[in-house]
Amino acid sequence: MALDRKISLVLVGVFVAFYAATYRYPPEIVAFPRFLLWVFLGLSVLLFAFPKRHSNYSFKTIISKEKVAAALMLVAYAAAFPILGFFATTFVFAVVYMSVFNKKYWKKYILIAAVYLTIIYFVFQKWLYVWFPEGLIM
Amino acid sequence: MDINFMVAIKNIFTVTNILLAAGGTLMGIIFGALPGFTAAMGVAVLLPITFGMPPASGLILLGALFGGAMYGGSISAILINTPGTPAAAATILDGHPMAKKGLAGEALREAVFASFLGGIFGVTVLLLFAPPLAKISLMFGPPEYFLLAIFGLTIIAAISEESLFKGLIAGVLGLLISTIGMDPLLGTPRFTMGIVNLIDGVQLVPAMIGLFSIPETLALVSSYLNKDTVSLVNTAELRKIKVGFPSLKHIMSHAMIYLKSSMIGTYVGMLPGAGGSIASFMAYNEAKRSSKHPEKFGTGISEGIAAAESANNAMASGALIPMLTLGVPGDSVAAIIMGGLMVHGLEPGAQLFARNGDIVYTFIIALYLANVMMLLFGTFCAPYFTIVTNTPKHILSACVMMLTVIGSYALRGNVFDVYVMITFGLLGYIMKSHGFSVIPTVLGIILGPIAEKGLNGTIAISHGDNILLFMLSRPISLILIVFTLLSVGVPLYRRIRGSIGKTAGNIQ
Repeated sequence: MALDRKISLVLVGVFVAFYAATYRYPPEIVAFPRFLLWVFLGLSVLLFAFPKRHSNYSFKTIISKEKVAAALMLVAYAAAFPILGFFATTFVFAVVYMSVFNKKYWKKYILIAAVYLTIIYFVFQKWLYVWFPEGLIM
Repeated sequence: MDINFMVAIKNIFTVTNILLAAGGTLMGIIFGALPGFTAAMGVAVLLPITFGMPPASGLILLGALFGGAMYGGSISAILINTPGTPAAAATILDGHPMAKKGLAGEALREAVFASFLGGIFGVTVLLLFAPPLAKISLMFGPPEYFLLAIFGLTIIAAISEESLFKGLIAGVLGLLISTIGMDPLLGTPRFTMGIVNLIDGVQLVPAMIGLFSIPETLALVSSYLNKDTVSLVNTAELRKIKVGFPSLKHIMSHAMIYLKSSMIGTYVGMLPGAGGSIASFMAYNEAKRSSKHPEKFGTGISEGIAAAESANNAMASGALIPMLTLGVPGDSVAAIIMGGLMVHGLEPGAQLFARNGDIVYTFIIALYLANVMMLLFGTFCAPYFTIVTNTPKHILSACVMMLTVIGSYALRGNVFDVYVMITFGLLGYIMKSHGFSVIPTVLGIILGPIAEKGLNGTIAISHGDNILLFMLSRPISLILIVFTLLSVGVPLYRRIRGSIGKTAGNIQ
């Protein structure tokens, strides 16, 4: 099956889920979302009917291990910084993230992370008065 | 002369604002020169820095960043044969061949000077035409706003990507996302899934940071394996390149190219979704078509660079015209700047000029200053900006990742916004890798409330009449309906005609 057709089936699934959710609310406040959802369904059907060829598409490239690692580290960082503290977590994230891709220069990464955090501290905390979570560590 | 204009001139010449214009231009050039980093990404990740600033200062920084990034892309296009931004793709055609001939200094001189003239032209059009255009928007009622939102979305979907349906689906998805949160009629939370933080709706800035930055950053990490730590440019060679100013004779000989390309760039900028790459290729083709020696284009002549660069920098200001006057951004960066305006409590449209004229004029005049800064930086430091391309991509990627988190958090000091940014970042990555543009989605999120408010207002003032007939009875609405149908109908007609042609060819 052509990729665009698979995508359109996923989009129909999104339509069904979203449309089912509209029944939880008074009809007058979901009139606009329902109108949009019908347009969305119509377009998904058109995508199914007129698929385009994707010669360069490769699922393996889309979820390559480097990209998955980068995304997971970002999620872990976002989950950890409110608990452990912004500066400590950011420092660890920066060093680990750079080391995962190239272990050779880890000492350099510590320096880069320290300089980066110093800039962030002065720009955001001292100049713009943005207070970051202190958490358990810092 | 407008009092706001005088106030704006006074506002500009403060040490802070001059430094912001210079800093914004410099950061923009660096972002632009980095292959894989787009102007949209640069403006999105640096947008949070402006939150703590007065609105005019924040806008100055963002405008300078935009202009700088548009020019910065040409430096790496000329010196390392890789466009820093998509808008600089046309610059490569003649820029890199010139560098290979040993004329890198001349190519860089042409790029910065053409960018400067294009930028000045675009800002002048913005200054002259935005205020009267904003007054036209005073004639708009709820039906016109509803149709304007729909038109903005259809045209951006039709132009921005190769697949019309995918562009439209992305736009409708954005509109649907905008319905999450408190509904404007009864004040009841909709589609919040019981999450308190969603009652105010999806925050635009974290969503934009995610959609514009995470897909690019993930693309950067995938390329780290290839030549990541290998220096792309030889810094010793760079020191030998001298840029300088062009002669009067040279300027006069290229005057028509500068003018025509700037006009094309500004016009394309005003069309929602068209973007810098379309502007520069259109101007390049026009310069080639009207040249006495079209066969020399692509072999390394300054006319090619002049056309491409004046067009993409004029486009930057052109894209701000519909955003400031009608609330419909001309391109992705204008959409982010519009997000910045909204964070500062400013609403684009006629009211913006009436209530906050001093801020808008300060912003517009600051763009002149930013162009002068760009000329100076480009003339004296252009080759050195390429050194940033030697920075390993995994380091750049880490820095951008951290900025996306910090920026999303800084908006309201709320960790939930970071989760919103990541969710939209991953959504953007999935969309991009499956042929969907994220620009219509962002525009849909921005235009959704305008469209819904317009539709509700239309229902209210039509007093139970058929809404479509009611809209057709209003001249501006009628024009907008025609434009909307054309924006969808023309690409659809071409596609169907193309499919029929292919089928006929196969049968034969």
